[in-house]
Amino acid sequence: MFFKRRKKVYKTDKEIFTEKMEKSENELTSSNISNLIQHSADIIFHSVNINGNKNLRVTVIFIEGLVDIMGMDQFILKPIMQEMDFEKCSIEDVVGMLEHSTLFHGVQKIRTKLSECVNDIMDGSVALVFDKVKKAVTFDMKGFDRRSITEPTEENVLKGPKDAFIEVLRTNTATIRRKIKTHNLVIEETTVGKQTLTKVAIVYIKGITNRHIIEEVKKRLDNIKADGVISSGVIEEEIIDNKYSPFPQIMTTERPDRFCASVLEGRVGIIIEGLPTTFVAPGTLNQFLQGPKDYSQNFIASSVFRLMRFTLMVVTLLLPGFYIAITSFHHEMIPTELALSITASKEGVPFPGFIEVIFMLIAFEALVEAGLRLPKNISQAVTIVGALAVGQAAVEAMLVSPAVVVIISMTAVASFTMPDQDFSNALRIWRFVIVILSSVAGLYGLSIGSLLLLIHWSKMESFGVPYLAPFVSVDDKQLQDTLFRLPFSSMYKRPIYLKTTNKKRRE
Amino acid sequence: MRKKILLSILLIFTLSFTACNTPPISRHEINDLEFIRSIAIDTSKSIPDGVRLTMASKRLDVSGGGSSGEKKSTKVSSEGRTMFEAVRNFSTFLDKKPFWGHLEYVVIGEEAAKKGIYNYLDFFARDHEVRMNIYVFIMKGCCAEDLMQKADRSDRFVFDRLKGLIHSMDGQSVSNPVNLIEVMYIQDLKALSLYIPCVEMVNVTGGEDEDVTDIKMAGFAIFEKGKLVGFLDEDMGRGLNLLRNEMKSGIYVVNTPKGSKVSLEVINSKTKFYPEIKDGNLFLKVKVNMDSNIGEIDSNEDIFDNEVFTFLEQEQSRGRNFKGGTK
Repeated sequence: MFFKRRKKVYKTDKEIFTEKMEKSENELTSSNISNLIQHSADIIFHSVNINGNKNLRVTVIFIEGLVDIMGMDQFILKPIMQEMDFEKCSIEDVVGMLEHSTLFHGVQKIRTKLSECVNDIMDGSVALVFDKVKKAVTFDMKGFDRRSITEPTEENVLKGPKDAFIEVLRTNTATIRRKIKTHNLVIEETTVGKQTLTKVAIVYIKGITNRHIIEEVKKRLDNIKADGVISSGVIEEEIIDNKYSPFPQIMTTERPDRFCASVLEGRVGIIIEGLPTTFVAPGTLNQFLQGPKDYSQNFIASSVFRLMRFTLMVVTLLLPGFYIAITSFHHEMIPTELALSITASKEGVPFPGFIEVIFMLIAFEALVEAGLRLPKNISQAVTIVGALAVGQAAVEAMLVSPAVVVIISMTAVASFTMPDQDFSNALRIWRFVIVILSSVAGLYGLSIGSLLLLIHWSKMESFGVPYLAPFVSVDDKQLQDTLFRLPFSSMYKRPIYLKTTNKKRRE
Repeated sequence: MRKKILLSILLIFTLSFTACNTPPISRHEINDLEFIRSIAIDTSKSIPDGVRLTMASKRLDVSGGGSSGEKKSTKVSSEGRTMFEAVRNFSTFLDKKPFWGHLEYVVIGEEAAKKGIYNYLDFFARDHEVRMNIYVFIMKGCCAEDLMQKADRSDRFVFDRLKGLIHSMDGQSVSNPVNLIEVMYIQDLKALSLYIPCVEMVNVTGGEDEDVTDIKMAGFAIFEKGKLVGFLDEDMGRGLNLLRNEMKSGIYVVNTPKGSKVSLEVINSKTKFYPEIKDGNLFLKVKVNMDSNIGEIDSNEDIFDNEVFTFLEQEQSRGRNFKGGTK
């Protein structure tokens, strides 16, 4: 940590890949392609004579499994083998005809570069390679098994759309297009990952989203040097500002409606090929405490629930620490009768309060982890065992006092109300810090812990936007959608901290 | 980075070497503490000029394993030459560390009060654990230890009784609770003598023809320079409350011209002072404005006309007809 990191100018993976291919015999021929992509079992090379003419040889290259073979047979192979127009053509004419007439296909491209052609094949296209003219025509013929659009599993909502993102990028962009029909919606694509060559789409609305945020997102995505993008963490970790913070800094959602609402607010959406979760940047603390149903129910009700959620955040963070502080240091803070019953409940428990609390917290974390790992029907058993063993038996065995069980269960229930899982996890970690500090120094330690958290939050920035964004502002109008939600009619401006080009939400 | 390390070292040092003794903040588990709820102060019999303290506290006993805890009362006495010494001597008789943060009631025996109360209360005012809003009582007639020993029963703890007395004071206005902070405040006033509510032991005939000792409010104890000089009975106590403008409620029983008894409930009372100088002497005219409800009439007499009302008002203003108590 004492050495300055040497800065090197790395080439992006795409550039390296392209360069490498250009260095080799960069002529677009079927043999070069075959050299490049080695001998994989699923890559099919198939030589065909157009219309039976031996002079018009073409190689059909595609990857089995990625390509809709029925469609290929029907709309590509059948025409080029049977079409009478090809009879007296030279090979150049054939390429021209393929491009402009003859075949019934929408997405087709003429490729003259080897790398482009190989990338197309890898992405699920059928390539017709004409060795003689060093040209290829690629047809987007993706046809693979995909999951249908299902209900969201993690963010459920009573009122509102039931669709969720799936693993296929194109389907996801189409879902967004169906919701936001303005021509200003821009979906840009870039490729991330040296080996996986994952497509990542950046979604924003031209004329609303701040240009600098878009540029920053693109820059950070292009700078990713990862080998592959299999999990979402690869991209998330690379593009956030503070890697060493447990708190999430970009919002993750699997709901297209939430994604679109954020994009409309002036944020930038990121969709990754192969992942049903999408990102929205920049993330602010406020976002992680907004439930999916906040916008679909009465504003008074959602304001009350949101206020409660903020309170519960404080509860889940501080309650165990507060219990330790008042039972070990500040006994005068407890009402006398409560103090007596806590004393009575601790009678016979050999451990000091903080050991009890930490023991119970660890037991709770273990239960949560166990519940996640196991299949659904077994995880119920874990809950029962946990409730019996940790709750009842531990109390009866005088390992913990019933008061601690109550405190920890209240903490646990409060932590389950957090809408964002990543945020909840970060609170879990910080809870331990506060527990340790308050077992060392009581309420003094508790306040130091909370202050450290506040300092940490205040220091953080996400794509140039302060993490505590609307709360650190002096403008009270920005608080319209924070601790409470005003009716939509009074939220006539987009969040100011996003510095949107078009500030007004309502005309 | 180096700055950060230096800064954190500095922070650790500043936090650990504060002016507080090591360990900076003392940690005591809650079940290692004895919560003292009330304390009785008397003169010591064995040590000349000494202090005898008796404390009462409550414990919940859950040895049965169930949630319904049996309440047990703990009473311990200790003696010392001074208050502080006696307080420290408590810990030799207790299995837990005495904790004074939950102290609510201090009862001072009559004999001790005659010697002066400030030397007893000084400890409470100085000690950091004791709250300043604890209630002070004077035990009329006997020593305060008797109160702790006799009036304390397993179903009715002495501090619960004292709490009940404080709650019932507003309804009768024969006395008024006084906090430690008020005692300290009155001490500094030159024009006001210290008054502290006093309690008295009475024998109540219980259900099974058995005398049960209970306590009741008995007006005020009046102090001069910190020493007990006399008592005000219930009627005079109500008078003091009127003068202090602290009359909240109370029942006046008056007779109508025809002889039926009417209970008047005070619902509002305001006292104003009008100082005037007559023949070079300062006189204080006290004007009491009192609103009453007719709470009860013991006959079917029609009293609802102005003449009877005026008569009743006059009867009430004569006062001195409080017959309270449980005797």
